Amino acid sequence: MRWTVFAVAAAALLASPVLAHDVSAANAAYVEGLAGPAPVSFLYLGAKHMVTGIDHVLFLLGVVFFLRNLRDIVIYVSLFTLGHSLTLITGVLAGWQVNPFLVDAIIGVSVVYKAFENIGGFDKLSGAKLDMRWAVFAFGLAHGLGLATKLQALTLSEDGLLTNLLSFNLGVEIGQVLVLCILVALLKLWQRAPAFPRQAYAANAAIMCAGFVLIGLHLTGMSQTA
Amino acid sequence: MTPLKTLLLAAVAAFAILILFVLPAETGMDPTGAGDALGLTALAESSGATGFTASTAARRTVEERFMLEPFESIEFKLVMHDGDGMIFDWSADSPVEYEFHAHGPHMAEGEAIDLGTGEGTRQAGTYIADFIGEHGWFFGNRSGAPITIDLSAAGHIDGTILYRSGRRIETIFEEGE
Repeated sequence: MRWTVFAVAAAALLASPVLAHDVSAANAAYVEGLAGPAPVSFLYLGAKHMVTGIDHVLFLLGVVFFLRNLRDIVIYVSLFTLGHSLTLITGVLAGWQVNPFLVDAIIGVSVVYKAFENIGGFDKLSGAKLDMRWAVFAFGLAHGLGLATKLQALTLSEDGLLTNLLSFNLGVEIGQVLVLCILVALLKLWQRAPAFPRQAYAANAAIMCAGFVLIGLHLTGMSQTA
Repeated sequence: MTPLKTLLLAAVAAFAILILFVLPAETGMDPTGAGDALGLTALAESSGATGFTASTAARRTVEERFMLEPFESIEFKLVMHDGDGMIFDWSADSPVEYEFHAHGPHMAEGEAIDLGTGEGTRQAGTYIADFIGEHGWFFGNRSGAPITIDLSAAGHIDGTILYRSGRRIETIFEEGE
């Protein structure tokens, strides 16, 4: 209980200043002024979006929290990657317009969902339990839709669009691998600690709390702009 | 604690954090008044820029044509107040060196904020002055042939200043002009 309260407070501190992670104003001005392929710039923006995006980081943390062997990590992360690459690329090319606040709120739901699953929340609700691999894939689709929406909020030049899009997607993967390296290394250390099971419960409670904050913030944003 | 209770606790904690801290700081909504007490709503005010500023200056259009002799350079400035905006569009019949800069009374002589330098035949855009002062262009002809520049600017402009051949020609618009 003590750990739960502490971890919730820590997550709240972490979540609040970095909640809004749209492409920054300066980056947006640069991207909108571009005509033609700029693979390195888009690669960088994709990686930055992932590394500085607390929602993506929290979801990845939830996914790898209890995974102990590399094979499982690769399977889950590949499913997530496949999901978000699909919707990112087709979303931008087909010009899908989705309410960005709604997508961000769904990403918040994905954070809560995975953390709830981590504390065994679905064990008793047998009907609600999905195969986690499908859930991770489905949330990958949602995260990709979010990325596609953010990219389309900028006025992108048709010239070099596919190159820039693929570069952005590759950047997202690079950012994801960077985040995962840090998360997995720290988790490996933590999983060895005797207090890990108790602290893990508190940590996942904190992740759920941060997920709820994200949901609330984005739903509020949606109601304000509707 | 059962997982379901933990989920509820997390939701309740998140709700409190949202109402007390996040919404006041991010959106300016402050249902409990805690945001004001903690000074968090100020964050939302400064980040909620909409690009809207009111102005007391009249709206005017400035249309000018400049002929630059070979290797001649001029400066053409607009007198604007803090927060006043204008849209501009200039074109030249051959490539000209240009620089847009802003100079305020709070700066030393010759000091200016450079907002865009280049060489080209046209530029159009929007500008909002950050401070009262002279805001405008340097044009330089680096070729051996004369260049004609047509410039148009519309917005809350109080006057113009032309620097040419060591002279300063200032035109301050009258009220209602």
